[in-house]
Amino acid sequence: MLNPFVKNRNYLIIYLAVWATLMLIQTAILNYYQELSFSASINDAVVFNGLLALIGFNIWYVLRFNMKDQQSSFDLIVNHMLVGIVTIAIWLASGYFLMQALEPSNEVYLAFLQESLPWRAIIGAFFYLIFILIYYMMLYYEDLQQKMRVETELNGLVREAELSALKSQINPHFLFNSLNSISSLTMSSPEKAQEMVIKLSDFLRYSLSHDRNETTSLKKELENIERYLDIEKVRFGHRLKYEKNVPEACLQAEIPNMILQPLFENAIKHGVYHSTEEVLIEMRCMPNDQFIELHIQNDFDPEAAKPKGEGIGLKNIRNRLQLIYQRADLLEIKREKISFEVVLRIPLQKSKKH
Amino acid sequence: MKVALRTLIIEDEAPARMLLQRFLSDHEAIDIIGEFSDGFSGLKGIQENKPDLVILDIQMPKLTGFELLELLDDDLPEIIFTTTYDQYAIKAFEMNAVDYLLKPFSRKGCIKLLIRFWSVSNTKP
Repeated sequence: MLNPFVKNRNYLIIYLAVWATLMLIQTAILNYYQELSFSASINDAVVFNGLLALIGFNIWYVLRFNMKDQQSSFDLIVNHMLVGIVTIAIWLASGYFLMQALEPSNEVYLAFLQESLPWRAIIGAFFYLIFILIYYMMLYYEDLQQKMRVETELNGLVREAELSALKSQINPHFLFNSLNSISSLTMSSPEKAQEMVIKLSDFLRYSLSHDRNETTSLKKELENIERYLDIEKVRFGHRLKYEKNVPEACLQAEIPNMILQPLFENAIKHGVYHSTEEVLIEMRCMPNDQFIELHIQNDFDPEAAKPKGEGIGLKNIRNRLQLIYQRADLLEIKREKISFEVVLRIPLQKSKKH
Repeated sequence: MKVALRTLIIEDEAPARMLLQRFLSDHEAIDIIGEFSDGFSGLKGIQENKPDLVILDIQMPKLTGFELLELLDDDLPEIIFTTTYDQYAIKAFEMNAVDYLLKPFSRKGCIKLLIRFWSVSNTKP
């Protein structure tokens, strides 16, 4: 892993600026308070701070190396103390000899240099500490950001998975029964059989392709519903009757795809399945400024066993609407004596949040 | 000479009924004596006709195939259930149905099942 000062240009500029400032301050102090010559002051400041900047830069790699194998905190502290002592010793020695070479005849300065070594050691230790603290903070921060990135990504994936799990699956009973009807039609009316094969294919294609997209127009969704009902009509004959009252204004509204299909499947299951008489499934749409309101109503035989509570289909629709629109009040169920009605309110603004 | 099985078809979907009818009607082993499209009329049909064999749909209005069987406590005919899914098969066996036909029906499957019934019923004293 690269040193963060190399990876990020801004960091590098700040790093260099800090050291330049320190050099200036040190030059001023040495020249003004210690009354050293200007050249000695500036040389001292540049050499010692420059070396420290160089060493500090490389502490990063020592730190990364130390982190490679899991150590106890005791080992880590001992490690850092050893590295610190060695680092400071190298720093002082190289600074000391460089300054001796740069200012060989400046007696005053050389005496000062000698005297200041213990202080410099303490300052070095202090800098070393600051370095590792800054580096650890940077690592921690980067780690945190990485974790946050992963978390947002995961949240997105979870939401997607939830949505796809809630999407209605094709009922295998429907498929087998339709195939049986087709088989029968091949003998009595081959053309109708052919028609039904096409309808079934279109229905399957729609259901499969719309796994990907979250919403579709009401128009397309209704076309698919009508395909579905046409197929079921072959099975149930006169028992299944469908009427719709959907004004033009509703048709272009975006609704979650395959959200109506389970409702019609329920209407057939609880209405048509249990009745020998004609059962009317009625679809109405009422648009207003904020919503389109979809009503799906069917009669049912009051003597047939009542389904207990809210079925999985309705629950899934409720959860799906909640996930897409962040609202819990979009599905309403009205159970009367001989009729069952589901009201869906689909918000008109495009809520394709991800 | 072997006697044909007197058979009722109880099935709510017209296309499925027609399919069974076509597959079975011209076979010597079977004599279709009636067709019914819901549980109630089917029950009545069984009680009145006392058939040898009933081909019975499970999912039907008014009475399901299972409920119908529960109401027929004495003098049970042989039963072949029809269903789309073998999830019902275990229950079908618990209810002493001898066998079941899966939808979509195949002519071969229907005939094979039938012949087996026919030979069993003809070996009975």
